[in-house]
Amino acid sequence: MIKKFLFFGFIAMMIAGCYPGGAEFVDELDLVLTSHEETYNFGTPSTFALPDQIPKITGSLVEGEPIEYLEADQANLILAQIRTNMEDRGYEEVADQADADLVILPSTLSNTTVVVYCDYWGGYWGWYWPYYGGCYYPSGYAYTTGSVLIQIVDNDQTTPTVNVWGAVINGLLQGSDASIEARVQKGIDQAFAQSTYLKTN
Amino acid sequence: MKKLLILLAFIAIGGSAFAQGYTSIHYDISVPLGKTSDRVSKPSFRGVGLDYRKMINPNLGAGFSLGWHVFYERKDEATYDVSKITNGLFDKITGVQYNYVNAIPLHGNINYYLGEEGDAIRPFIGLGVGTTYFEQKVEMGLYSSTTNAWQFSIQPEAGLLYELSTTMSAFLGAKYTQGFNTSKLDGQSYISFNVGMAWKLN
Repeated sequence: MIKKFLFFGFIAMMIAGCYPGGAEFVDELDLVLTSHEETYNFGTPSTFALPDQIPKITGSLVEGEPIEYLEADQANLILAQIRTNMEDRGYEEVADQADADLVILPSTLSNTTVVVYCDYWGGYWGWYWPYYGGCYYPSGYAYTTGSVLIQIVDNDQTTPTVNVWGAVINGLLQGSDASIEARVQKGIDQAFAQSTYLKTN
Repeated sequence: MKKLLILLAFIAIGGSAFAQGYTSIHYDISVPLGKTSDRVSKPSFRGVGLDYRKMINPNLGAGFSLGWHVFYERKDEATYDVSKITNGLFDKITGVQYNYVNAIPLHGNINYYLGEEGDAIRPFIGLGVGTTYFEQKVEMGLYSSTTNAWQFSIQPEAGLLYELSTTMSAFLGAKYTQGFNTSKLDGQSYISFNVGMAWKLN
């Protein structure tokens, strides 16, 4: 009996592994991803241009609605951080996009995930009395993630547009505005820090 | 808990002083080695094991062993090269990494016991052959990736039984678990140190 119990106990463990620890603070879930076109020589271009506004990717464009933009202070914060990093790498900003060697296209994306589940008893009673629709005590949680996407496009008019560098700064949109802003700034700095090739001659 | 252990002891021993074998339950501390320590280098304090041996002659026992060992390590924010695993979509990723390895060894064992029945201390050596289920998980940001595999494994062991009464012994041992490569997962290995109790079978 005991042996049987222990045996099934071990089988149960096999089905669900144990995951102690894990993230405790929001910033521990922050990620910075970068990619670049390996054949591109980042030393050749010397100027760059930034837009005034940062679009939010919402899907509204697909539905024929006008583009939504990020609030001015948030956008300025992101643009300033990119500008500082580009200037540190020796690039010079030009006002007119047409004159720039590189055009930087930042955008943002946020996504809310809602998870609803039935706990054990909910499931049980739901099965017993189908009248309750299978979920007697629904439980759930929601979280919102945000991403800042940065693309750098080679502005050579003679060839098709080439996306030469890309970065994604991703994390949970949780906490005060000041803390989120600090995390975004840190993320942008990190994106440049892990892209040492991104500098002019 | 104490009552349960005593009850369990009585059921396991069945009341006879003459040992035909034993059942042992032990707490395990494990140290990752080789490919396992590449992911998690910290020792594991989350582990349990169960051993059952039936004596086939006064010095030789055969049976099985089960275990469950959980390894965990948080790695501070660092930059990793991901060009291979993302097929060039991204080159580098920076973030805090959480690594987990769950190991469930299942082995058939043969043990050789020194000394004779009735000795206070009976050291033993043994070898287990069987399989170990490894589940390796890495979490970064809100994303995770899990690799699992049943690996063919061997488990040499050494230890001793220290007789506390005619029915009960303290169990001290060390088991080295070595899994072999599968297509999904490199051979994992670790050593676990076992401290527990053994109840003699009638």
